Amino acid sequence: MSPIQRIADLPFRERDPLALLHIEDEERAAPEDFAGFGYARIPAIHLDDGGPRPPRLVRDALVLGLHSADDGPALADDVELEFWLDDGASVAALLSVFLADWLPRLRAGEAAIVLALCNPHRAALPRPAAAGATPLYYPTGDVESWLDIADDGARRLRLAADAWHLAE
Amino acid sequence: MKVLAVTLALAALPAVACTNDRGNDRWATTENTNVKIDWDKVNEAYKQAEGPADLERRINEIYEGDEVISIAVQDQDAKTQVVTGFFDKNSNGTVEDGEKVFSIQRDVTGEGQAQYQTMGYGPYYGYHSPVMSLVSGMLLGSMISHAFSPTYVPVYTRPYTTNAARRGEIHGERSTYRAANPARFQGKPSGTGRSYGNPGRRTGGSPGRSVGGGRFGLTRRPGAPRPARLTA
Repeated sequence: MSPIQRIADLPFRERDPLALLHIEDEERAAPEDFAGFGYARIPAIHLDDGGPRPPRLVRDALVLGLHSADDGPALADDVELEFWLDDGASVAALLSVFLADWLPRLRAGEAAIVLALCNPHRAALPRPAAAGATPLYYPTGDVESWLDIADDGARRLRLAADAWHLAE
Repeated sequence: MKVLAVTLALAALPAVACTNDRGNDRWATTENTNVKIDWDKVNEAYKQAEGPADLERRINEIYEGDEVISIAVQDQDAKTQVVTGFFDKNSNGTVEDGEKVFSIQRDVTGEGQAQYQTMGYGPYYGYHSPVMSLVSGMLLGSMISHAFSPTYVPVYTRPYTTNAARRGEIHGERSTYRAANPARFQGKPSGTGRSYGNPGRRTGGSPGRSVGGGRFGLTRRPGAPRPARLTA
């Protein structure tokens, strides 16, 4: 049994952006599964839907790194999160409940909130009241993180999903 | 997910040459055209399609080969719909042996609930998607969402099939689409003027390169229990 009994007690901590996105090995050619979670304040991140248009650049973003299970329940307007803890225990929580609890504590005047979270059942997420007036972007489908390095050495962080949506 | 780099000869390929090693690999490649089918996008196209014509358009924008993929849609009963993608090699508007590319079967399983699964055929034999859930209220196109309506009546008890005239239209539309989207084949624009190569979604690219990070989903070990849900 997990010692975590309340969502508020989850060890949801601020992380270095590269650590949050699991980009710590620059020799890795493709994303891999990992269970890390937390949040980071990222000056610029690109949201990629795989289409022909350039990825959407989101500046000054509060990025929440979260996970859903591939075999999680199909919910029309919510996602069941899972938190695999360092002690081997795991707990679940609905995204809506998690955001209601944690967003008020995390918000700090950022320009946007981005959910890095697989949404395998394509739930259409309503806008959480706890987001206030801050735009909140969420994906549908799998989400993977990438670090793109241009010929001139410029770097960009990119989150790839089937589609990105603005919660309304 | 893995990226498959197996090459296959499309025209002369005996089915036995395609083993189940391909399994659920998301990509398949054929040698003669370097054709890739992104199955995630095919599955997504069905979810989002507003009808057979819209599905034809979406599928052929996904498919990167020269052939046009025709579509056959048949409602087998009030619950089950089968969509077949095929190369209509003899242009007779019917699905024949050796022409099938994929099939998608959708089954209504309860009130506001359904599931669907995609299978590959011919050069794509061996691909099979997981059985994917559909729930009323998801972001779905009307081709699926109509099935959740209490007044739903199956429309395609008499099958819809892409006819020769429509194939010509699709070819023209796709040519226009490809001309308008060269970045898909020649490297994706960065929006900054920099070249980041063509990293695609899950692959590295050149010039420039892409470093893979993590996937924000979790795959549970077989038989492992689901954790308890915290409610507050």
